[in-house]
Amino acid sequence: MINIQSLKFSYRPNRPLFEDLSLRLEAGHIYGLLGKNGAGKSTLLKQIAGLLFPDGGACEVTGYKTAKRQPAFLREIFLVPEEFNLPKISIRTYVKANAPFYPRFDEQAFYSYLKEFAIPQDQQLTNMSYGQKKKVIISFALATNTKVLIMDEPTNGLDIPSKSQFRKVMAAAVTDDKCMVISTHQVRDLDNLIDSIVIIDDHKIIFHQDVGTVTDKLSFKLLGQLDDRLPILYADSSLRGHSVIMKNENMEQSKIDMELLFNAILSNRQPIQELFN
Amino acid sequence: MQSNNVLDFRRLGYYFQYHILASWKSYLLGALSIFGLLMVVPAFMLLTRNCPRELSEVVGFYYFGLFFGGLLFTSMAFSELASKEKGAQFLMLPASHFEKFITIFLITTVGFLLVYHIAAYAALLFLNKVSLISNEAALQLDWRFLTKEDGHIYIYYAYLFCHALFLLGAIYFARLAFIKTLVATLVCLTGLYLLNTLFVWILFAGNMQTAFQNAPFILVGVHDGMYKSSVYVISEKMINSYIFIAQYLLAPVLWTVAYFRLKDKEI
Repeated sequence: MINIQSLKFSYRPNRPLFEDLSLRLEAGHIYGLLGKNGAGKSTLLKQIAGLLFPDGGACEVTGYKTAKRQPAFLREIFLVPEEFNLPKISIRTYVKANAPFYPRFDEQAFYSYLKEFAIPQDQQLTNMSYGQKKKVIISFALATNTKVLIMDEPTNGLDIPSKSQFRKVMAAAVTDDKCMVISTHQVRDLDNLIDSIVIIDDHKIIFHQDVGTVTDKLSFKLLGQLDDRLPILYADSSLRGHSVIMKNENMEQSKIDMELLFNAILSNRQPIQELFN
Repeated sequence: MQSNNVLDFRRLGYYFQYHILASWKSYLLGALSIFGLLMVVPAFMLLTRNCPRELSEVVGFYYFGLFFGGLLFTSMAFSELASKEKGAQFLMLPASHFEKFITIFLITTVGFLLVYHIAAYAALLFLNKVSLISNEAALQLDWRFLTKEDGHIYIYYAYLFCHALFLLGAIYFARLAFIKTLVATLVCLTGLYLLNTLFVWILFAGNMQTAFQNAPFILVGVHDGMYKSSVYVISEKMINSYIFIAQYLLAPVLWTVAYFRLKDKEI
């Protein structure tokens, strides 16, 4: 679906951002793209969307070179950016203007998503709050039924009920032929949604695993006391106790804590990576 | 059936509809401004009792409006590219670069010229009324717009060249495209003039009082002896080549460069 091979890219000469970056993302998954500020997440998403061109290597989506921005590729991808601008038109006019470009656009689904998000349908887009606009774009993005859906910080600006509504509509929208990539810092918002984790650090992909494999190999627990005899890979202490990641030696089932995993991989990368190799 | 990835008329229609739905309010406002500004001229003349008797006395306003209005409008044609958010939305909309380019091209050429000339004709009718009131005679239509003999048609060729230049500028420069295109054009023309002057000076230095006795690429004035001076002009064939290039090649070449610049645009 998304195939990046030996990608090279730099904004300035002699200051490469990506050198030999390769990544393959398949349909039927919701990928969480995680990384610190400046790690290169947005640049990678722009490469996938065809908004930036590779200096070397290849970036292809559904077999199309993204840099060519051919209509056949563009109608199979939708980007929900973190910052966006909507024209001064009503929702209905927005649909009338944009929907014809997407052959599988489902108008009924669009209005049902809006209803789910409690968005008034007869309002001008510019009269809406940032959160409401974001919900309109997310609803439109899901209704386009494109094969690739990219979201950059989709839960930024959403209130607490909206975040759970967002998870609900996303879970309902994912199908075997779609690939969704969500770049976020708010990992707790999407813990239950993401089924594959891609961590980018220092402009490299340092971790790429599905959640099932992670929970098979790692165990996430909250302990009252740290015990040196336990195979602890990473611990984070708080008032509630010690959140730990351990080797899952007994094949116990535990719920993934993505924030903990992310911090663990960034601070104690080698032993965790060795477990997955 | 797989649709064409460069030009599909149905998709072009969708893009045209998309563009108009998103921009019709600003276009309407622009059209009303043109009407208003062109009506100000005869209204001012009526108020000051200073009405012209001949069209040639006021035709300058028409050409000024055509160039200033048309080129300002053209330089704002790709204003989406000035903002990352709008630019990403523009580039990711599933229409080809050619369809996006041709839509803007048609709106800034055919669309603008149509609106401007309807407004100018309305202003002319108003001016005629003003003339009937002030001079008790109709305005004499002594200016022919499309004649080759007096060179008036070349003003439209110049307009098309400037349009192509400002369209390229609109894509090339993210912000303040009008000013930047104007400055860049002046810098390029001055550079060309100085380069030509340098070569002229190298070739004719011994016979020139100053290096600036030349019209770039057309003629050069030299002194033959104390009291005699001559002008070397390029051949008629060369002049005809220049005219051909100016009429038929310059604008299309710049339009093509603008299209490829749009294709290469990154956000």
